[in-house]
Amino acid sequence: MSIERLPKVLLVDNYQPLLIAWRRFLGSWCEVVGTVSSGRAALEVARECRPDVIVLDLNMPELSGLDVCRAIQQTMPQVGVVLVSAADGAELRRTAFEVGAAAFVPKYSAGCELESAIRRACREQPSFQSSTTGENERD
Amino acid sequence: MTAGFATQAAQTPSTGITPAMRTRASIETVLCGMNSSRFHNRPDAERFRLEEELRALRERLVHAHEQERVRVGRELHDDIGQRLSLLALALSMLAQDAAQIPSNISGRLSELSRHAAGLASDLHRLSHELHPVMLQQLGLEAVIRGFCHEQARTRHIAIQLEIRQVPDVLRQEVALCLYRITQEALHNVVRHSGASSAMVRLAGIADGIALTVMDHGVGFDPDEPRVRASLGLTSMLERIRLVDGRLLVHSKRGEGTRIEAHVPLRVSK
Repeated sequence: MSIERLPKVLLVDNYQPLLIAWRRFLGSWCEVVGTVSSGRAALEVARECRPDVIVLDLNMPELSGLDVCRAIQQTMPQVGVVLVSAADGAELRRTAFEVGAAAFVPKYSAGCELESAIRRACREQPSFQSSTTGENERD
Repeated sequence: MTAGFATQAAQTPSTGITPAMRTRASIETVLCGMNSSRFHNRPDAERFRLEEELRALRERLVHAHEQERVRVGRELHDDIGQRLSLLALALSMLAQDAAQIPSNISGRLSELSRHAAGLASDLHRLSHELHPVMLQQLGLEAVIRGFCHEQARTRHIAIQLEIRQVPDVLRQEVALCLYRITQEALHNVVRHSGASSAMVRLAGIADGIALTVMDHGVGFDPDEPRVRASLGLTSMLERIRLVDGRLLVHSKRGEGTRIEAHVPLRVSK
């Protein structure tokens, strides 16, 4: 029998109602380790909680999602990033992948795409794979 | 999910009179004075002063228009767009609650969610045209690429885009100016030229950046004041002056149009 642990997810957006909705939306199959509303707070909480995936808004004041994603790539490359944005477009997606995001989801498509994006980001994280396999082995 | 809809009302001017409206009224007043028969009999110094005043007012008008666009674009993006995304997500969550909802209702909810998502997407496009927040995040090259791609897709026009040696980092005023000129010039191609294709070229050159937008459409007489106003050429000129650049408009009836903007990268300001 295989038991997969829930992916640990940190949610980052400066629009509070969306954080509440995402937490509820993802709660049944993710362990939401935190919700924060700025890029700086995202980096601090990520260092403490070591999530598997960060769902990160691109457009935030001070430190943008792109800046945070770059910093995560440098300091915590084992953490997968799903960039989300109110916008969409080929250039935006290209830039998101250039800075190291595992997936990009327009906010208005979160209902259809966010779950598969988080699962994809998890699959790309060796640390998540190994810890899941480890639990399976113990089983 | 009701918590999502309790957002702050965006700030709007309480009087309904915007800075742009006030500046436009001042311009009308100065123009009235300049158009009167007595104007040409006035001393040179006074005429020069009025012309300078008019130039300064037009600069202010460009600023005021930009501020209005930013305000409306931000409101659409930060408030209405986010609430629509939230609505799409809430509908999607309801639709997925299969245990409690009959399948026919679930299908309708999914459809409504898709509609809300489509509306949010359209709204974002409009907001981005008004206030290109991505200019700061992605840079001029990516934003112009995206805009041309979007115009080609939605307006069914073939756009040949050439971008080379554009510096990665540009002053925000320069990037915004070149983006707005591209936007205005391509809108003119779509609305007035009758052309089915256009060319946009953005290139880093020895002393600055050169932008060319060209079509082989119906063309116009650039010296006709009404035409200049209707095509937004005055606004393009004011914008380019703000960054110490220059704008050349080449057009002739039946022979297409070529707009050339040149912005120096080292400016005295």
